[in-house]
Formats: sequence, structure tokens, C-alpha cells
Amino acid sequence: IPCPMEPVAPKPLFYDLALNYVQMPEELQDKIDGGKKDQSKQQSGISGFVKGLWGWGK
Amino acid sequence: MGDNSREKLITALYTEFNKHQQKGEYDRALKPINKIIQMANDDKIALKCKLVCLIYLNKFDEALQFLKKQSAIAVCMPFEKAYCLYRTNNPQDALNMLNDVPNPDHRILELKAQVLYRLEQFDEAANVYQNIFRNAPDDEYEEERQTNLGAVVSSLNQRESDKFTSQLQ
Repeated sequence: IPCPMEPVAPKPLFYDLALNYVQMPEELQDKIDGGKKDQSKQQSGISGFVKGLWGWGK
Repeated sequence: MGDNSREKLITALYTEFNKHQQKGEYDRALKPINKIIQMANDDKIALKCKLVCLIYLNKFDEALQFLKKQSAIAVCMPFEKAYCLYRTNNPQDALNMLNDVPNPDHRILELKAQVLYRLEQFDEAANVYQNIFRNAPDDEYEEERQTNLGAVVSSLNQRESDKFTSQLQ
């Protein structure tokens, strides 16, 4: 006969947030073709566009 | 090879690397970055890029081996090294490293809270989360962080109720 079952607390949900902070070094932008100036312009353009998209739903 | 063409080649390799890493193709990104390291093994940016790739590829043992060989970047990347220790089931070593970092930033604190949770040091983990929330980091992970704090608190409660039950028995 199996022993009676006992309730066990479930393991709570826990996210690995630290992984999000593992990122490529910023200096990478200086090393690639086009250099930093063009890239930073382009990036703010793209992120501005993305932010704009998020804003649509609100 | 002249200095100029060598530099051009390195820029081309970095550009190729960047193209792959932006698409999340980290295994492909390793090829050009390894070539750069072969050509210039003191290029710290390349070494850092390679380490991040290895972490994204879940190759934590290899990342730690790499850091052992490249001690120059190991000292300036304590967060990444501690993260690898955490993921290879060495939370105590990770904690020791994190505790040695002077003026810990939000990344160090976030990882420290996770390491303390893994070590089941829930009181301390709760303290670190309180510290993080007090400094109100303006990032998009607020909800997930609340969930993590919830896990810490419920583990604390669970421990208390276990104690209480065993006292009754």
C-alpha cells in the first residue's frame, strides 16, 4: 500500500532577470563599419519608431 | 599585411560579427570574433564580445575556461563571471565574487538577489530586493522583479510555517 500523499508547496515562479543585463560592450559600435556617429543616429531613429509603436495601443 | 589593410579587415570582421549578433545568431557570430582574437589577442572588446556570445549560447563552462585564460578581462567583468558561476551551480563562489565588488551597481545587486535565493538565504535576498526597489531602477523588468520578490517572501513564509508545524509535532 502506498503511503498517504502529503501536500507539498509548489515551487514559486522565479525569473532569471540578471541574464538581461548580460550585454555586448558599448564600444562594439566604435569598431564596426560606419562608426559610432551614424550608428547612434540610426539607433535613436529605430528606438524612436519602436516607442512610437508602443504608444499606439495606449 | 600593412597596418591599414589589417585594420580594414578587423573592421570588416567586427561588422560581420555585429550583423550576426543582432540577429541572435551567436554561434555564427563566434567565427569572425575568433578571427579577430587570433589577429589581435589583446583586443579587449573582442574578448568581451566572445564572452557574451558564450553566455548567450549557454556555454557557461567554456565561458569560465575562457575567463581563466583571459585574466585581463576577467577582472573587469565580475558580473559576467559571477553569472557563469551561478549557472554552473556554484552559487557560493558567485556570491563571494559579488560581495567583493566595490560600489555594486544594479546588475550586481540583481544577480546577488538571485544567487541568495538559490542558496536559500531568503532573508538576505529580500533585503537586496528591497534595496533594488528603493533605488527604483527605470527598466522594463519591474513586474518580473515583483514576481521574484514574491517567490522570496513565499519561501520565507513556507520556512516559518514548516518550523511551526515541526514544533507542534
